[in-house]
Amino acid sequence: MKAFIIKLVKLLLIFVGFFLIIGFYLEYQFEKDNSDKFTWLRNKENNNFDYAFIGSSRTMNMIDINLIDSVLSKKGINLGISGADFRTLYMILYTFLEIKNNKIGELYIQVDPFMLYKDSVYNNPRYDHYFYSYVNDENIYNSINDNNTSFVYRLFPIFKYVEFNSVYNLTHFIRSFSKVSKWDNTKGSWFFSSQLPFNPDANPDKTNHTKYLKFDNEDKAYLLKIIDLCSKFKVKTIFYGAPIYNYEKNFKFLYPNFREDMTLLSNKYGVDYINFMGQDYDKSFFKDMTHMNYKGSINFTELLIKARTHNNVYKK
Amino acid sequence: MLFNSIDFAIFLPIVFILYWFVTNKNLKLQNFLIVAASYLFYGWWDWRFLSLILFSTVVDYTIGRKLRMEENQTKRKILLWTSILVNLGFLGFFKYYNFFLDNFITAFSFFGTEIKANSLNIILPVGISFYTFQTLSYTIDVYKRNLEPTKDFIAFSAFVSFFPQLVAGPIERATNLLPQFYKKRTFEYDKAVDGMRQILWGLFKKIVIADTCAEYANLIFNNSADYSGSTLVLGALFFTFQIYGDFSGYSDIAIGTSRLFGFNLKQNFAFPYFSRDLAEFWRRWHISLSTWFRDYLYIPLGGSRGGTWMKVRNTFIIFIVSGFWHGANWTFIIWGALNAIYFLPLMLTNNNRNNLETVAHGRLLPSIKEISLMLLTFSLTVFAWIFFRAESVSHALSIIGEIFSKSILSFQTSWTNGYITIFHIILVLFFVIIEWINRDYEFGLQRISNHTFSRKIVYFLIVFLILFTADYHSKQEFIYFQF
Repeated sequence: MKAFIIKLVKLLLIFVGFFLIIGFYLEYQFEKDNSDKFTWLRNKENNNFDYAFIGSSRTMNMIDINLIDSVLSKKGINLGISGADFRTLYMILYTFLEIKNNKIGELYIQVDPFMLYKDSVYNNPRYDHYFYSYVNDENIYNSINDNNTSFVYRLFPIFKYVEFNSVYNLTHFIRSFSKVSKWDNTKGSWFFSSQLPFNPDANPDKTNHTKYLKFDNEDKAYLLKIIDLCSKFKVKTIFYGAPIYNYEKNFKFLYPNFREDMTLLSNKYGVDYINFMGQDYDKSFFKDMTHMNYKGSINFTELLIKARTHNNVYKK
Repeated sequence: MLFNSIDFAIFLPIVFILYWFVTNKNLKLQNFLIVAASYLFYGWWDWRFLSLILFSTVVDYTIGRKLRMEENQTKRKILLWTSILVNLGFLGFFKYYNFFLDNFITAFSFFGTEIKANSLNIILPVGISFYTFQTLSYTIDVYKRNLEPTKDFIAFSAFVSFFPQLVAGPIERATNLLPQFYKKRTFEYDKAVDGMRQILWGLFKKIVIADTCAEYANLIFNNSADYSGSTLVLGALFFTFQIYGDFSGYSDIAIGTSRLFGFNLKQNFAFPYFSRDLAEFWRRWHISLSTWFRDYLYIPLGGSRGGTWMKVRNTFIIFIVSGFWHGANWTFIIWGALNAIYFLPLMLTNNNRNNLETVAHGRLLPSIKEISLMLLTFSLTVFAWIFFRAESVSHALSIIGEIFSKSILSFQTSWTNGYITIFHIILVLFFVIIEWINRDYEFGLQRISNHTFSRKIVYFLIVFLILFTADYHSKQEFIYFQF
């Protein structure tokens, strides 16, 4: 029995030692990965951008930075991440500006009711693991949902790579050896290629949507933190609402006063607010009710350029 | 409690320490600890169903005692049937009530009679099919006077509820397991090390092979209408490895855990996918269930002693009942019947006991003939698994229809996940190679290398794969929990 336990403990200690070393190696290697949007952003350091867009998938998939850059002769970046809520956006921006020392001239912040979902997609801390490397920073530490265990991940990175092995997987590991990223060419944008069939008259389940849709204190707090952060780094801030198919008919009832609330907020904090949410758009511009396809994205980007160059004609 | 959970990783060392360091001086106390640990293990899932196990234990213990004293054959029969009815009654209610109800309603509506009856929302108690058969074997053996009934209620309770094999087998015979509770167990170093190795291999089979294959099998079977025949064949192949990794992995963990506590359980899987015919497959697949049906159903029915008709009838009964044991669905019944059809030609031509030795015994590689026979048997098994996995018979038939269509020639990649899929296929091949090397032993990792260092490298690699493959954000239950 004694021999068995001694052998078992010895073996365990050897394994633990090996795995701790592997954990630090993975931390080093995965830091280089820039294959997905998050890791690509994390690798941006000491850059100057004239402008940036930040928001959810309706920023990432609907704004063509290359088009804006070529028309306005500016340098921009798309900071949008699918399914990101204001808390995640704050951590992205904070890392980008404060930790990675990037500079931005103007920041367009996507604000619309869909970013307020409190369901598993929007409010799930599914991106928190990307920030565990920065938990020594107080702001990141306080923003992570489950920060009780985050120091364990910092001290023993192996736990992070074991627990989130579906994210830090073999594909990412292999890709981490490549310096080329698909995001470099698009500057952080990614488009839906085709118009998928969808029913534009589908009435969303009101109960289901309203259950989750709430502009609560946390959302407000993080939106204000984003504004504060911009102010600290002297970034001009603009709120914008991205297009939605037939918003007035299909979605407005979910949060009827959203536009008014945002207008009040933008006035209070001196932020411009341009809204594209209530306009009429052709069905062929959309991939689904809330996402434009490539054709729609180009159209929307052109509208944004016009709004920018014609003194905010779409401001409401 | 799942074997592949943090809960079990904490539970096992605690029970191990209490077992060998605190209660080791007193056999009764040690057995009581096993009962308490087993009830905790089971109650972790749903404590309400502990009452069923306790009731089954009390009924069979009492009937066993009465059978010992009773000489009157009629009364003995009544006692035996009481045990059978109680145990199968529970099983029938929890597992088959809705199935029979739905089928009666369908059958009557076929003849124009409408019956109105509501299905019940019944939760199937985990492991009920396993512990029911285990307790039944005790009563039947006592009835047949093959086993002396126990006076020790704690030992009997430990036998019924022994946590390593309580919820998914192996289904132990009272003649093998119960006497082990009467004797003082002594810790054996080699046995414990072997047990640890078997647990490791079981975890690898479950987490790395079964759960990985499950991702593809579920994707393809759940969206079968979107896939071509060739992809559906791959789906069936993934399920073939999933079910083997899942179930034999559980058995390996159960047997390995038992060894840590000084118990010997029977081998439940003996590398079935290396079988050269279906008869060999069934001697190697879920051995504890096959032999249970053989001893308590097939032989009492007359076995293969009668004429051709009797042989055919008994073979069909045993395979169909075995299919039905797996679940209340026609798909399982057809799976059983299909295996009977595979098996019958072998039995009727007296070729069902041709391959008793391990394939390529004493050689590293099999002959061309052996490879062909293994591939044929494997293909028949994969085909039968389609019924086992499908949601319904029509679902299975639609998959088979697509497989035997022109789309078998169209290759799709939409189900793949880049490098990860290639890596997963390499893992399955690695698994098959390790199993092949160890096919003469009891489990895949039993004899890896004589060199300590290279053995440790293999262990390290397996632990690494387990850690980096497990899905820690969703609970992956074992398939056989539902049976």
